[in-house]
Amino acid sequence: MRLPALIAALVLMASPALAEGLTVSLSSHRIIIRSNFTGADVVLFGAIGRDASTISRSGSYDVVVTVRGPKRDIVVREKERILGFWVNWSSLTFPQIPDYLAISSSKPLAEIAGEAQRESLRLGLEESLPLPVSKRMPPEEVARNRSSLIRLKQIERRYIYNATGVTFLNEALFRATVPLPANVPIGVFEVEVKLFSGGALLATQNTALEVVKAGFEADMADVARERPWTYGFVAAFLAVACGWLASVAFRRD
Amino acid sequence: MFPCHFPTGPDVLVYLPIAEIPVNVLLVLGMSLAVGFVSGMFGIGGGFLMTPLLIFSGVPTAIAVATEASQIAAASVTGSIAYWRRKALDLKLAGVLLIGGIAGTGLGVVFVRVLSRLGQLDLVIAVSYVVFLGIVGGLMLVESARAILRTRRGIQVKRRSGQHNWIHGLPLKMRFKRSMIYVSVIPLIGLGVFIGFVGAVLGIGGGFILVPALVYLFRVPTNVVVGTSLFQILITMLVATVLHAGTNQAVDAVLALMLMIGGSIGAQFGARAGQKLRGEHLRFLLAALLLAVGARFAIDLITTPEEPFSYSVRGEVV
Repeated sequence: MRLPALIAALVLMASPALAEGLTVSLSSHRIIIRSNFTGADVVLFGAIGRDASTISRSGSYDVVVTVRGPKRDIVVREKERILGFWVNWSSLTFPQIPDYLAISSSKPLAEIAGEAQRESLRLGLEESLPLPVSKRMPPEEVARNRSSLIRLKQIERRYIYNATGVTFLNEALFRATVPLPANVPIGVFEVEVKLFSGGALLATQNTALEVVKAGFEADMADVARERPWTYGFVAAFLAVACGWLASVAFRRD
Repeated sequence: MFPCHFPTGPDVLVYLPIAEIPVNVLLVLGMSLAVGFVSGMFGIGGGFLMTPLLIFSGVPTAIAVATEASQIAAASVTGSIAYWRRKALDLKLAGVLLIGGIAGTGLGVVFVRVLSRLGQLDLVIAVSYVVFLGIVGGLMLVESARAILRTRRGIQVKRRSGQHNWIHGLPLKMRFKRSMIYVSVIPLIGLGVFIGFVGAVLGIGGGFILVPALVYLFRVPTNVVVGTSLFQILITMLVATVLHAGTNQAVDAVLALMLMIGGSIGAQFGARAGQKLRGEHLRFLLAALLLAVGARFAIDLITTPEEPFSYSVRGEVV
């Protein structure tokens, strides 16, 4: 009979005391980019809560920390040789994908969760980028574009996968470092922490951090974006002032 | 595109707010000093050197082009003031050129936006640089080499003047007293459109096209041609700065300031060095420089790229 098993499962799900609790904390929720910004590390601490009623597990815990930056429409282009010249020929748009993506885990993702589970949970770099449907491009080309985008982003340190990025301090306490490179995009970053054991997802916790520009440069970027014509006239004035100053400073007659 | 791959010397990094990349201040100042020196030495704006250097260094193409426009404007202010004082400037001629120049600049800025959306800005800029620098550098190299050989052999060449060409048959003629020419405004406006367009797209002032065109096609005397050309470039580059910022948000004022400082100091030393060299030797060196920059673009176009893939954020002009 399946009914007793089903009831047992429902009881297990409804009873929070039996599952692990997950508490996470970031060293900083707000990263400020000033003129001397060359990158920053955000440290995440997490604690796995257990009590006497939590079921005992044979295996150890696995943790995956995924940080997703602001979403953008990203166009990938491939150069081809046309009439002897290398020209951007094909293009493929990945709608609303993270401009920054960092995945840290306590061991390789393939050892933490099965393929289907990784796909459904968007766990992993490739798994985070759904393949767009293209009328002009065969599926294997689309997949090649995706892996190339990931490679380019990894070179820039905007996409990061670190299979040893989560360290356990003791059996219930872990730490992960999220590296934000110098070219980190501006915006809100979702931080998602998932706890696994023996291939099963036990708990999820979400938090967020924000990357903002500050100081003179931030004000300048704001004006350039929001009042571009004013900014343009100021830039033109700056040019005239600089040229005039130079002619006064270096006048030889 | 890729992040800025400036070699790291002493780390004096400054974050460029519009380009959104950190750059080494010493390197940018060094490049602009060097280009300023060359521009002072040859009496040119230096845009055709600075824009490629910025592009080769990893600054997004649209930002390199737009920001360099403001630097050329600053450099032209200094020159324009000097020629204004000497009254070696034909305001009426510059005004007619500017009617076309401003229209051409507007077209150029829109063209940059469209190309960037299509992902073809880098290609068009590279091909244009190869073509322009190849033609101008090639012609100048041959001409200066001949002049050097002539002076070695001691041959004097008489300049033919007063010849009329097809331009003088066009209607809507206007008299320009200071330049002592009586010529149709149609080709002048057309020249202005062309210079404005090319300048806005390639991040150059266009003096190396404008000056020979005014001298050889319109017979503008050499004593007013440089001042008039500088003034025309000043106004078109100011318009280009405003339009690039207003429509493409591509002017990086921090980068512009560094370029202006380095450029104006370098130009002072270059001008002094230039006085010690003969005209044809200067032109020969400049021609070699033009061809070298053109060759660099040509090599990038024809050699198999290490990375055929690139990506950009839709809607951003880069």
